[in-house]
Amino acid sequence: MEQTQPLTLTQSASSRWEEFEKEVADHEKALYHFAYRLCGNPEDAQDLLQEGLLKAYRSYNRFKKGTSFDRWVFQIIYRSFVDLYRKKKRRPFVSSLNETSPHFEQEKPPEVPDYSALPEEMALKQELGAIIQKSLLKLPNEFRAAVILCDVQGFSYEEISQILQCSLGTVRSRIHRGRRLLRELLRPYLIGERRGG
Amino acid sequence: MNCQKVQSLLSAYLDQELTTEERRIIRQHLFTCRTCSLEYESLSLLKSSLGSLEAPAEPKDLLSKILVAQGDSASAIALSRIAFNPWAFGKRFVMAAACVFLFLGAALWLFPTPKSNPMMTNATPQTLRPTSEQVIMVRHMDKEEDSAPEDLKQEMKPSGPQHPLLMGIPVSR
Ligand SMILES: [Zn+2]
Repeated sequence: MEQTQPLTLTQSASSRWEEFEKEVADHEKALYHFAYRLCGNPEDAQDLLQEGLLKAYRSYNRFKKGTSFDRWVFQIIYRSFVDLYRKKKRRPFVSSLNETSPHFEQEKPPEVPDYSALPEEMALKQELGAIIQKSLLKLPNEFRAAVILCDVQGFSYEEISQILQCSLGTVRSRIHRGRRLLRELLRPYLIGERRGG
Repeated sequence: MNCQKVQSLLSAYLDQELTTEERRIIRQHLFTCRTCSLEYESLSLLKSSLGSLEAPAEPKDLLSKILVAQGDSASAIALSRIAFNPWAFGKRFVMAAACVFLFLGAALWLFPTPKSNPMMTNATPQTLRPTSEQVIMVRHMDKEEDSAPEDLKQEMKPSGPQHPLLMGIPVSR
């Protein structure tokens, strides 16, 4: 059997950092996208991702080589998200049903550099993206995370169960219930898009 | 399989997370049942809409906070590679401000009155030149760069058998 070589203190901090940096570089786009979809705005997403990466780096020596680095960090990010959410008793990442969150308005710039310059189809797509994000924020955290991991990140149920640390049955139920909730919130827009396309 | 049961499995069907047999049953049901078929189409449309969400542009200085928090030598090296770092910028600013205050303080202390000017006495060089002890200390610190800080060593202690994915997860504080 292959024996896992435990990382020792002899590994210099410098090479450790370089290794970590490389792993992060390979996955940072997906990791940031996950954080962004969870939080719904760039500021909270960046804080969450940095918090997650800091935790990951501090325990990087205990990361099991050969296992998936991105799933490991996704898991840390989700836990950090739940922790942060618990700490802030008020619901910071969820906009209320009627009011337009200021963060939500700020969401547009990174996705739409020059709104007016885009063809109509692209503009519609961006608009739908913003509406979908707003609806995602109305889902309970567990449903939101499961749906994002499945539909945005493309993970399998097995992988999601590892990231969210729950059973396959729970993953299946969260995804299904999350999607049904989302569909109700998005029904007018999705039908509209379908007719248009 | 009745409609209710079929509809409860539609997401898993969509995600190809069902057994071959389940898939076959549902596929046949969808051919004959318009209600479930519409339900399936709406979920499918939702899934593809979520899948086409664009990734936002990621921030540039993602790792800077980690470098600052760790404060180890590797971090310092990497820090110097970062083109613009708010923390480093802030630190420089504080240093510059401190220099100005020090200069002003020294000027006031050195030139309180024209009579007693310590600049003219032999009081200056001693404090400015590093002693041999200080030089040795600096060199010693340079050599210790590679050893991990104390809090990192504690993080490295193994903590019993865990789920493979759980291996590196710190206990939430
Ligand atoms: Zn049916």
